[in-house]
Amino acid sequence: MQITKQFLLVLSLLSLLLAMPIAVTAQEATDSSSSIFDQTKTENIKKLLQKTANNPNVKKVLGELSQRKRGFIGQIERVTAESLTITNSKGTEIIPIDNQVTLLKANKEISIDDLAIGDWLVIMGLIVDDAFTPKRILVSSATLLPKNHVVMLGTIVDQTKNKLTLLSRQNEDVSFDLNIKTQYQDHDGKIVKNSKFIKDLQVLIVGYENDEGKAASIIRTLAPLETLQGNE
Amino acid sequence: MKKEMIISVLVGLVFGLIIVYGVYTAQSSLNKPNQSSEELGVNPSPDSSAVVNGILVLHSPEDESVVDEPTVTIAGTTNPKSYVVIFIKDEENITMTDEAGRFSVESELELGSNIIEVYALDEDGQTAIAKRTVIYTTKPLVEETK
Repeated sequence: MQITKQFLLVLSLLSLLLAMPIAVTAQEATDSSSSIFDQTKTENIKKLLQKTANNPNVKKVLGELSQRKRGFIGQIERVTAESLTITNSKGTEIIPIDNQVTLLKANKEISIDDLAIGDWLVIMGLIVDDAFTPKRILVSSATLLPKNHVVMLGTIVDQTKNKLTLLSRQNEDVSFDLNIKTQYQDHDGKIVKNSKFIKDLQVLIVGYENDEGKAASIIRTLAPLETLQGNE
Repeated sequence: MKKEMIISVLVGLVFGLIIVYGVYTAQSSLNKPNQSSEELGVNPSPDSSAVVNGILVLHSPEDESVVDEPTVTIAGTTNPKSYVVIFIKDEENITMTDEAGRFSVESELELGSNIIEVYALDEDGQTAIAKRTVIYTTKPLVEETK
């Protein structure tokens, strides 16, 4: 009886010990077969990539990608023989200058000595390995920045010959200067007479802002004028 | 006696199964990091050209791009039924978004720098603004090497 008990215990332990190598062997077998499969796959992919890379069109595109173009504007803050420090809405940047860079002002080539602090630049170049290399710089004494634009939705509360007051959607009264360039448009952009723009009309105003205030370039009704007149 | 036998066999089997499961789990966890790094490698990176400004996402054009074509497509997404006003330099173009909030406008570029400003206004008059700089040139940059 005692012997049978011991035999069973040994049998249990043996089955336990045997289970481990079987599991590991099974796992290894799977790994080795998948490894051979992976190797074949990798070789096929390599061959395919090499074939694709030799395609002239692909070569051209890859060349363009490795030399990405970059163009931006900025105002000169500092000039040295080797670099330009420029500032724009994104901050300050130092542009290296060498004899490979072409400087042009009014389509004529100029030298770095002709640059002045405050000049505006259009800088064009290439990004290679994350480093920017300028190739061509256009120089302008006038600002390259656009006007300060204003775009607003609201209701006309008052209009004279030279001024329009709008109650904005944020419940603020905003005054716009009107001039001969101000365009009055129906909801679809069709130009209409200014006499059709009356109090309580919902409009979109597009204009600009300067030291003297806001001026309207376009006043467009939000709903068709025909419908509005029909309702009156 | 029979009872003891059955218990011993069952205990042995349970232990065996536990160890097999343990080995299998260990193997799986060892393989897992490689798999996830591969997955990360093929995942596309977020579109850096799409700049989110409030409720306006501008898909094109790419900022600080240099182009040799005189036209550009300004496309993006904002709230549905919004007004979109696009300025290229000081020329304005007004459009509306579709029901999905998408808009697309083709505009002419001037030679040199073109600052594109996009204003999106929703029904409440809330405004989102996005800007792009596009340089239009007809002369290739790469041939300029002296």
